[in-house]
Amino acid sequence: MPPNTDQSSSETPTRTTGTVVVVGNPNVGKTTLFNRLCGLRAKATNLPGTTIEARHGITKCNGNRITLVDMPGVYSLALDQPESQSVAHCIAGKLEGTPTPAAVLIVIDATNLARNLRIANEALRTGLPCVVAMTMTDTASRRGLTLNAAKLENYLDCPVVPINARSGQGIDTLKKAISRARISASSLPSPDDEARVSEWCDGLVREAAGGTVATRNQKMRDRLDLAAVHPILGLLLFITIMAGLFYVIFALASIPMDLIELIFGHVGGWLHSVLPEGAIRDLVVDGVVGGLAGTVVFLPQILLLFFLISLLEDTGYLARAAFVMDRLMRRFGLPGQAFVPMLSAHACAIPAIMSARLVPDRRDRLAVILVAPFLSCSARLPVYVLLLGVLFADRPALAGLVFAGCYALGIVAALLSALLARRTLLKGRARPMVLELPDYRRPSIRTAALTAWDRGFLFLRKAGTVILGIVIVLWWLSAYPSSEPPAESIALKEQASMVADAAESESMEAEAESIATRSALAHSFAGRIGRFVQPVFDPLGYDWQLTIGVMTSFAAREVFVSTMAVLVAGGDDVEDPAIIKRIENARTDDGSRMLTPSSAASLLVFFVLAMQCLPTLAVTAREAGGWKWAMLQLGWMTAVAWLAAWITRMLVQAGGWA
Amino acid sequence: MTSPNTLSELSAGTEAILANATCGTDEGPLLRAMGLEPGERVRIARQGEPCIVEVRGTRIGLSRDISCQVQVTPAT
Repeated sequence: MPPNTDQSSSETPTRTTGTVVVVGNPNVGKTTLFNRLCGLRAKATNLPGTTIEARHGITKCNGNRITLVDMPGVYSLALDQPESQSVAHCIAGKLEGTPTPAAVLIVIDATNLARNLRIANEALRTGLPCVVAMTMTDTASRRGLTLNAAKLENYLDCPVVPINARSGQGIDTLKKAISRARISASSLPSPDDEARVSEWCDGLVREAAGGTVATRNQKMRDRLDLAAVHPILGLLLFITIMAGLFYVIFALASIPMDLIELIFGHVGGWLHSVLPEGAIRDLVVDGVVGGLAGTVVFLPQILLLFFLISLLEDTGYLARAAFVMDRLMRRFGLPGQAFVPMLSAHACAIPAIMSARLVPDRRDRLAVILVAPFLSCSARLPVYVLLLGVLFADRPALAGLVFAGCYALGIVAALLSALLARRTLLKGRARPMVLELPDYRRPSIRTAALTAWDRGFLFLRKAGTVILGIVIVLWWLSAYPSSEPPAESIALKEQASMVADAAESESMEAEAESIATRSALAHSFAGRIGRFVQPVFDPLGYDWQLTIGVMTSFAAREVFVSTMAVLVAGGDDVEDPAIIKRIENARTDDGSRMLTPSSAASLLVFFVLAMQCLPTLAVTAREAGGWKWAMLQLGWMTAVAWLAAWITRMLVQAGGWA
Repeated sequence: MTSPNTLSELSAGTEAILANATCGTDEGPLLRAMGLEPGERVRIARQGEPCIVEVRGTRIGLSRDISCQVQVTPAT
């Protein structure tokens, strides 16, 4: 190893500009450091065509603007894993959208220097200027380890800065050091020669680290681990923690969600009153404001879910929980980490798909993303309630049972589809689980808040714009072309103006209005599409009105109930029991009942299984890295739903229940 | 009784020296990169599914598919 010389030419400040890649092992505090350096000025993007994510941020070092790229934590650059390969590509400048880096920031964990030096060696050998940030020095000294950064700097022949990313200690020194990152001239072992690499790492540890590692709290940590991964106790603990997590999300998210709806409702109402009547007003009030409300309303759930998951991950518990759930999930070809996204899909598939990044393997992650929308989200609830009311009006116990059955059907469909996907399209051996179990720690609120902000912003920026566009298009399809109100409605209005009694006149006018609305929807593009597409749904027993309901619910499932209310009950107040009653008793064009037991049962099954949520498709396309995955999801789920709904109708009719 | 020769045969609380971490599986390079290198001393914190081992102060959970393939020699 060459001696370091202080009068090196690379010591001149303000040298490094451009892109600096951050690399290191998982769990070394890389992201905490990145957040310290970049704060809120960071954005996460998927690497082209992959589910692997890199975060880009801007920081200032000695007056220079530097773009930091935070890559996923990997144990080595040479592993046969997509993450490892993408980090290697990024350093080599072969990554689309990221310029060849000017320097590498290597983050190493002081408590496990021997292992961390392996990746440091690999990064130093790339021939790029390097700088090393050493984290966890406080934990190391508490364990009785003393580390000599100057000695390490000398041997590695690049700046080494001890830091504490949580407290911010050493960050300013690190920023200065980044600008004097240098190409190491030290003699480094070839990664292919594993024996020499080990020898080199051990030699450095002997030179730079003193003291022996005290094994404090070992008994305590053993006990915690034994409880956390225990087949029964661990499962109970997991169920308790998850139940608490989702209770908090449901209980807390509903407040800002109601508030968002209220605010957008007021804004819409105000705009409605100030803008002149016409197409522009309709576009702004119903299209833009309605679309924005429909997008922003997902935000509270996303923020809360990611805040809480980040806290949980930070404590070290989630790695243990992965082993508990692995025993169950592995049977369906999914790893233990898939459990959190699958569970959160019961609230809403959008945050669930976004949280699939907890799943490390690419194939597993794609399988989770593809099947998550099978799980019954909260938007399906109003539809279930309506249809169960038709089917089991006087048998609440049976209704409750079937209600639970809807959830079970979604779970079974999701797990079997995941198994199928892993056996066919995403074929590949299920990797046996190997996972580092990080030390139990007090979670960082700051990191959790930044993670939540990051996800929320990402959702609004990428998915949000697509969702807004989709909602506006769907609104346009159901509002245009505008048609003249039918004669019946005009006549009723005229009659109303002649009635003396104010209350009666008002109710007649409302009736006239609802006839006009219904006629407008029937004549709109959506209505025409509904009539056109109806033959596809004929085998399932849906008339053109139900078909329109199914079509419009692609914007969001809960729209089904309000569409049906407008279409067959002449009002959109879905809270009104009279309206619901009218939907239940609606007739088709030939006078028969629209919702027979067989068509209602098949509709229920269809809603459990069908991909009827364009916002989710937009998020799938983003997270999976391409619209082909979203199209596959749409195609598969719709096919499964159609077939299952058809079988259901046949069974109900065969049972003589119709 | 023969002396144990894979990680999965050791009882919790005992220590051993890793003889070979290639495991004959694709996970060999990952295990070595995670610090489970031949010659390292490991302590078994939990046996079974998962097997939890401690190497240089770091805990690693291994599913039984892997722990039953990692060869060890008894610690002296």
